[in-house]
Amino acid sequence: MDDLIYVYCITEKPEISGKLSGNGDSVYPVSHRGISAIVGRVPAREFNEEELKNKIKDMPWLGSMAREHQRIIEGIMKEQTVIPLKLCTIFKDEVRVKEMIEENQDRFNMLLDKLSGKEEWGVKIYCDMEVLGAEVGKSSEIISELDSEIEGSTIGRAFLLRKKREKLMEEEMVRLIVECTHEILRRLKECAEEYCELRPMPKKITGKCMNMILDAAFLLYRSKLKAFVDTIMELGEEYGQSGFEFDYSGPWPPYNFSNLWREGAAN
Amino acid sequence: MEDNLPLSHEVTLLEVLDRVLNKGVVINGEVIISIAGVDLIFLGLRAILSSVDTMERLKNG
Repeated sequence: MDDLIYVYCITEKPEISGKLSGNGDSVYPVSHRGISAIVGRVPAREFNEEELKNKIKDMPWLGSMAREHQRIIEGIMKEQTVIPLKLCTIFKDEVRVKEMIEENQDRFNMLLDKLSGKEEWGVKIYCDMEVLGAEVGKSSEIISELDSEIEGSTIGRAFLLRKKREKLMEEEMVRLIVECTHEILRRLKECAEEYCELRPMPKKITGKCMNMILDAAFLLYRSKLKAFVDTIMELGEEYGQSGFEFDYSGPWPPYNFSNLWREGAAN
Repeated sequence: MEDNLPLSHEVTLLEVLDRVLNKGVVINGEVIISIAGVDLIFLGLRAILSSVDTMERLKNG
């Protein structure tokens, strides 16, 4: 059986310096009309639709494919602006790849233009609810008043007051989280051109004991990176005592800012 | 050159998966895969990540 063409990403330049190999074979550009698709040949017996349907359920296989996909795009990204494609975007042959480029060339050009010189960085914020709770307990006047009222109360009344305290506490914590994330986002956005909020992963997925309260991606000019990281450090210090913890990652291929259809709509 | 091209900060496989499966540009190729329930994949992956063998396979694969 013949090979199929796996497309990793779209770039402008038709050349790749150095050698990158993907799935055991070398990666090369297929260029058409000033746009290049970075592709690799993959065996059709493994990458046909039928076979992939089964393989996608194989976690270790999926995991290593994802890493491979990521690794190739990162390699290209070091030298050029890239539009990352979804995992396993596969074509029958190079002619079809060129047709695809032709069909999308305006959108690709607009997107490449927008992404040029910029990087995607991810920021996750976790919150230790116990620390935040203790902080609220100290700083909230209503809660402090309730605490002293509970101390001097009968058992029955203290029980009711504790229930009231619990509810108040929860409201205060939510209010504080919303307020803090709003301010945090405002400061981070100052360094970025675009940003988007992602769906925070639940604890059972992150495996962390802290709650993820915000997951966001930022598109920023490379020249703003230092200011961006400095801001994250400052925020970490300022909000650390309230139980907030910051985690950042990048540079990512601009997965979250490569909306082909949105850019196209503006055309 | 072909070995490791790591991100400058530690990232989890989950983040990589989330991005490559959900966020990359979708162009209809000739081979179309559809992945239903990414959360299920995440949970499945989480479960097997506890196995050291699998960890190694993923790292090296």
